[in-house]
Amino acid sequence: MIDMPGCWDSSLSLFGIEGESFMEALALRPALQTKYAAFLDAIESSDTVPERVFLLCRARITQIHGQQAQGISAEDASALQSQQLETLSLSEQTALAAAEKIPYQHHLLEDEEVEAIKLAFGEAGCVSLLTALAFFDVACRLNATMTGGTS
Amino acid sequence: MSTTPRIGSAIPGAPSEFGTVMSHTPDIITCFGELYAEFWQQGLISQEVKEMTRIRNARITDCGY
Repeated sequence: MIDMPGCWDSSLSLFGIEGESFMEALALRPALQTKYAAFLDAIESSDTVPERVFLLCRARITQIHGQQAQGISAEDASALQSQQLETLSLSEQTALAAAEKIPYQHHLLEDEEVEAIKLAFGEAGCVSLLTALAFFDVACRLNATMTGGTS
Repeated sequence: MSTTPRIGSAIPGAPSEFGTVMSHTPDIITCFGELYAEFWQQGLISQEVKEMTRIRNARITDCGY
């Protein structure tokens, strides 16, 4: 299972409470927390998109929001930051092309880019990946909003 | 922005829209539905305020919903 709350850096404070993560804050709404976690688990459990693709995309979206990328190597983080993606597989690059646009340029995502994702991961994989990208973005925005951090 | 659906419906004969596209991933759409229902039907924020902010968010992000 991907450590999904990676976008929510637990070292950051939420609602002014040092060390409390967003998922912990959701404990105030247990039913919402449970269903949110189940939803994230369903995305992560995709058997059509490799976990590494999710990790790379989450890290890149986190970087775009100016937050600390987690769950990937320093080499991968550097490659993502500098956009030197030649060492990554074609499918990883295809997914990252979409990830690059989701936070602030989602309307610039081209039909051809979505077609490439479908070719790489299939239609179900495309749905899983695009949903994951959107919620990686949501996670970063919530983190920034609730911690007063960068976004 | 595309003006035609990029992903086909997972339900034969049904048009391509949010629910039928998401049905390519039944587990995700099921969990999303349960989460969305919890969000809309419970909590301290009224549905009117939630809907107002949803519409504002949709307009800012140029979403047709």
